[in-house]
Formats: sequence, C-alpha cells, structure tokens
Amino acid sequence: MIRLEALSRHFDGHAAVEDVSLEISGGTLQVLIGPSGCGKSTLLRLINRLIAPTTGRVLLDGVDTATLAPEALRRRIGYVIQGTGLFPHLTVAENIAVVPRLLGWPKAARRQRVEALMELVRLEPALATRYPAALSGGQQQRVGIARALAADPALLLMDEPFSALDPVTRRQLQAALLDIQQRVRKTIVFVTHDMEEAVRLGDRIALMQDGRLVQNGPPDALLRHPVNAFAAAFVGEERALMRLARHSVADFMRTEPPFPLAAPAVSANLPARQALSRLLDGQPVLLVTGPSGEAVGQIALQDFAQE
Amino acid sequence: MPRNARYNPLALVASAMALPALWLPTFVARPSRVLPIGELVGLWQAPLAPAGWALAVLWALIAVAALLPTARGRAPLLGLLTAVLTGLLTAGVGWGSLRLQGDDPMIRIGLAGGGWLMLASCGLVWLAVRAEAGRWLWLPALAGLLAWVSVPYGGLGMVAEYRISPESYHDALLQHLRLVAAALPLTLALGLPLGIAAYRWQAAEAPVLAVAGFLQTLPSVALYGLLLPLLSLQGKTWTLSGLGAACVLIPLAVWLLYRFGPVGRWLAVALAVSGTLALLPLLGVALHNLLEYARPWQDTLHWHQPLAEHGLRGLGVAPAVTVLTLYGLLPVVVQTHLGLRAVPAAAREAARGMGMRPMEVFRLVELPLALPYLVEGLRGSLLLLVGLASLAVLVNGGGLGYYLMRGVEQAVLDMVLLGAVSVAALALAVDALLRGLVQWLTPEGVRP
Ligand SMILES: Nc1ncnc2c1ncn2[C@@H]1O[C@H](COP(=O)(O)OP(=O)(O)OP(=O)(O)O)[C@@H](O)[C@H]1O
Ligand SMILES: [Mg+2]
Repeated sequence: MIRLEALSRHFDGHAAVEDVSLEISGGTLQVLIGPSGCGKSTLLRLINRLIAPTTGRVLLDGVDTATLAPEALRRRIGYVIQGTGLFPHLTVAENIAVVPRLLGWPKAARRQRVEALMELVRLEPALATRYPAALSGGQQQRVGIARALAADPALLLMDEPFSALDPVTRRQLQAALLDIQQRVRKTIVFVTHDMEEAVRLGDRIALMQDGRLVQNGPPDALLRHPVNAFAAAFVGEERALMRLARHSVADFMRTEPPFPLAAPAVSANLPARQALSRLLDGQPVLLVTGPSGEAVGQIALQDFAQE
Repeated sequence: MPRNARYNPLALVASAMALPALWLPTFVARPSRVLPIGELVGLWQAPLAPAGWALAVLWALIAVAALLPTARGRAPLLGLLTAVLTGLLTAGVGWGSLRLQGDDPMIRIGLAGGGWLMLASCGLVWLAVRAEAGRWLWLPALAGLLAWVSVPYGGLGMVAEYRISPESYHDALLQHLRLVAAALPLTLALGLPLGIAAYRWQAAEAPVLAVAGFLQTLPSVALYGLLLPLLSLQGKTWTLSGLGAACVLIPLAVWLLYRFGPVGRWLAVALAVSGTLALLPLLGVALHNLLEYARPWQDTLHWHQPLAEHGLRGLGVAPAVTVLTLYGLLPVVVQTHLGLRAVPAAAREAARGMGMRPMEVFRLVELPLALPYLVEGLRGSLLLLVGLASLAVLVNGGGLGYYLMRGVEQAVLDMVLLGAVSVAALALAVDALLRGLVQWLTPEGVRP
C-alpha cells in the first residue's frame, strides 16, 4: 500500500507536483493521467525517490521512504521508464537480469527468471542474445516491462510503457498486462495520457493538472461525474463511448428468451465497443453465445441506451 | 568508403601519386656525412632500372585493380598487389642503397623526393586496402616484415648514423619512452577526474575545458622558460620532509577553511589545483626514476636536503615530464567529458531507477559506454606525448630529440632523419595499437 501525504516537488520555484495526497491500496492498478507536463513522471520519481520531495511524505506499507536506503528501496520497486531506457551495451537477457544481478542471485536462477519473463511478455527466446538497437519499438518496451518485473516486486511503476506503439501492438500489450495482473496481483502505478487506455486498464484513475490532483476514483465515476470543467474537457465528448472500453457484451445483453437464432452470433465476452460497431453497421440485432456456443442472450442498439 | 563502392578512390589517387615518383630521383648519394648535396639517382638509371620497370607495372596493375567491381575479388587482389609492392619497396630501399654505396663506406645514401613520394604512395595504398577490407592487411604486413628481416640496410645513411653508436641510440629511445611512460599516468590521473568534473558540475565545465585547451596553445618553449626558474626555486627551497608535512597539512587546512571558515568553494578548488600542480614535477621525476633505476630516488633518501638532490631542477627530467603531462591533458579531458555525455540520459535514469548505487551506475553503465571514448583520448594523448617528447632535449631531458637537435646543429641530414623516422614509427605503432584497442573495447550493442 502506498500513501502520498501532501507531496510537493518544486524545480527552481516552479511546482512540478503540488500538494498531492493519494492512497493506493495493495493490488490495485492506479492510473495517473493528465496533459503533458502536468507532473505524472515527477510523481512516479517521487515514489521511488529518484528525486526527493520538497515537502510531504511517501509511505510504503506504513514506512516513510525517506527513512530507507534509496537504492534498497528502488530494488524492491519495478520501474518502467518513459521511452524504455534499455542499456544499449547489454543484451536483452542481461537487461532483464539487471536487478537480480544487483541482488546477487546465482547465475542459474537469473537465467531461469529471464526465460520465464520473456515468455510472460511474449518475447521469442531467440531475442535473448540481441542488443536493444536490433529490436523493434514494441519489443524494446516488452523488454522494459520484463526488466521491471525481474525481481518480482510487489510495486510496479510504469511511465507511459505503451506510448510509442501502433494500436494493434498496444492492445496486445494492454491485454498482456491485464493478463499478468490477473495472475500475479501487483500494485501498479501506471502513467498515460491516453484516456481510453486509462479506462481499459485502471482500477482507479487519478487525473492531474499543473501538478495538482484534480480527481481520483474508479473509471466510471470519472466518466460520469467529472468534478469540474477541466475534468469534463479532458474526459471528452466521447466519454460515454469510452466507458464501453471496460465492458463486454455480457454487461449489456438481454437474457430473456426467445433468442433471435437467425441473427449473426457474437461471444458474450466480446468488447462492447465491437458489438456496438457491428450494430451501427446496420445489423438490427445480434445473438449472444456462451463459451460452448449456446445462445445466452441478444443485443440491439437500444440495449446500450439503458442502464 | 562505402562497401561495394564502384571503384577504390584511394588506390587510384595513390597510383596517380606514384606516377611522378617513378620520374623524380629516388636516391641521393652524398660523398660524405656532412655534405648536404650529392648525386641524384632515378629509377630509370642503370642499377635501378629493373626495379623501376617492376614498379611501373605494379602501379598500373593497382590502378586497374582499383577499378574492378567488388565481386571480381577487388579486395584480395588489391591486398596481394599491395603485398608485392610493400615487399619490393622494403627490400629495394635496402638493396638499392647498398648497390649505390658500392665499396666506399664514406658515401651516404639517402632517399630523395621520388623515394619518399613512392613510400607515401605505398602508405596510401595500405589505407586503400584498409578501407576496402581491413582483414587483407595482414598480407602486405607479412610481406613487409619478411623483406625487412631478410635485407641488409647498412647502405642507408640513416642506418650508418645509427651504427656510429647504437648504445646512445638505444639510450635515447629508452629515455624517450621513459618520458612518455612517466607523463602518461600523470596525465590520466589529472585528466580523468577533470573530465568527470567537467561532466558532473555545470560550473566546472567551461573553465576546465578552457584551461585544458589553453595549455595546448602555449608554445612548449615558453612553458619551459616559465618552469625553469619556478622548478629550480622549488628544488632549492623544498625538502622531502617539508613536502611531506605540506602534503598532510595543506589539504587539511584547505578542507577546514572550506568547511568551517571563510574560504569559498572556488578558492578551495584553486588551492587544491595549485597544490597538485606543485607536486607534479616531483611525481614525474619519481616515476621516471622508477622506470630508469627501478626506484623512485636515484640514491638514498635525503629527507632534509633540498629536492634538487632528488633531481627536481629547472633543467632535466622534471620540467620535461611536467610539460608533457600538461600538454597531454586536453585529449583525455575532452574525451572523458564527451564519453560521459554520450551515455544516454535514459540509460542513466534507468540505472538509478533499478537501484544501482552511484559507483554501480559508473561501473556497470557509464564506464562501459564511455570506455571507447576514454581510450580514444588515451590514443590522442599518447600521440601528442610521443611527438612532444622530442622537445625534451631542449631542457636536457634527453630522448630522440637529441638526434633532431644535434643533426640540425651539425647539419647532418641523416641524423635528423634517424630521429624523425624513429619518432614517426613510434607514433604509428602507438596509433595502430590503440585503434585496435578502441575497436575491441566498444560494446557490441553500440557498434555502428
Ligand atoms: N529535473 C527537472 N528540472 C526542472 N524541471 C523539471 C524537471 N523534471 C521535470 N520538470 C518540470 O516539471 C514539470 C512536470 O514534468 P513531468 O516530467 O513530471 O511531466 P509529465 O506529466 O510526465 O509529462 P509528459 O506526459 O510529457 O511525460 C514540467 O514542467 C517539467 O518541465
Ligand atoms: Mg512523463
């Protein structure tokens, strides 16, 4: 669990982070979002103490991080730096094994860990001996994520980890992250300035502006009840559509029979946006099927309007 | 040169350069050691004519090979031709001079304009082969070496000059190397921290780079002139015991004054720097003596006698090593600074973010990435030192400069040549060695 208490950080009198108080409970994926330069990266770097706060405290499981040795603290916290920051002179495997090496793991354990992590982030084993310069942007970001996960930290800080990717790869990696999060629950602080990504991934979303925290809460709350004009503008006109990002067809379908068995079928866990898109294409109604292909419901345009 | 270029431009230029070299006189035969003029002999003249024809054909072949497409084996062919050329020239210089000298040992044979130009063209072809495919260079290297060991060079005036007194040549060569070897560690010991400081502290960057650059622009003769009275005064007035006390007390005083007293940071830095500079000549002498006598002091320690007893004088090794150390600074400082700046900021941030301690960041990330630059600085510095050590003779510091100075004074051309060629060969060897080292030390992931 992380607690930020009235945290501020000034650079030459200019406030990059101003009076931020935030509590992140264990196992949540907390998104930090806001326009460029609003202090998201600075907040992350305050948490792992790459920079010291001007005023305020960071508590990690109740312990003030100022009382801990910064290097020991950082070895317990996974950090995915903005723009990957891989070590150009180390191979993929060596990059991933940096923290285990600092922690003095034996060689065999490090190799096993690297293999497991490369599989986790879906990197081909053949890439292990490549250097970062010979990887695509998406592969580099995966290596960055694997490197942050290497020593199995309970807390993970991710600074725009999927920023430089095409939409397809980005979706893949988002799904991979949700998948990882499902299997090994970690506390994750995830920085992005993409609203859709925030809604898709976040258990909670904190919106920042000019170093201050504007609003923090579950995605639905932010989408439905933005606290001020800035929040409303940031969430945008498409906020209703945005909400669909978190939902699947099952959340909107009608389950009363009779089912329109002649209509095209979609799976119940299809993302709601995709079903909506097909309905907007001119399909009046869709049959919803369960895991084994049996009919479980139906969905039409008007179903999205209710709720 | 881009790989698979349509032709090899360097080899073509070399062939063009060799054309007048076939024409111009190759050797000069002077009737005696001190006479500056003599009879010029060209490749078209009687004893040399066959070699002349062979060279003409060889250069024509090189020009043709330079125009071949890569796929037709341009690289191995150029390598082979260069090997033949190198062997022929290396052997030719020895045999030719021996033939021209005949049986009159007073006659001095030297290379004339055409001969030098021919050698320069050959050097250019080496570069052409390196640009084409460096791995073929062993062929000409081997040919040159074989010719070198199997041919006598006694006819050459330069060699005759060496034979007058091989011992004093070896002494001069060793002394030259000793001066360089004594100055190099001091240059590194000063240059590396200065380069790191210039990188770490904004405020230090401009002054450090400016001072290192300024030192380079000073004429060394002026520096010797400045050091002469300073060092002789220092040598006369300081003693080892006094110096030892000063080494403990002065830093302590500076630190105390800086920590608790009125002395500002810059004044403290200035004091520390001048203290280091004052120690430099003595360290230089000690290192040099360590290399020459296998102990830092020529004879027993004189704790209470002036340092002049230990060789700290206005003339001799002390000023020579001091000046060399200062001149060698610039490449080391600049390259250290450059190398650290070349470390990507993101890699440094990631290193800290992964939980590396400052020394670990330096050892595991900054050093490996900056190392090729550091060795590049070492190379630049060494080249400067090898060249500049020739001037140590001006302050009675010895070295190969002896041959340059005496040769000019007595108007013995061969003597000047002996010195100059030795220094140049030394520089070339150092250069080749360290270039290889840079290649080897560049981390694979950042190689172009
Ligand atoms: N080391 C520093 N020195 C001075 N100013 C800084 C420093 N780091 C950040 N800032 C300033 O603090 C503010 C917040 O920067 P930060 O990097 O946290 O923004 P961000 O929200 O991560 O932006 P982006 O989305 O573009 O990455 C900016 O105005 C930036 O210029
Ligand atoms: Mg940022």
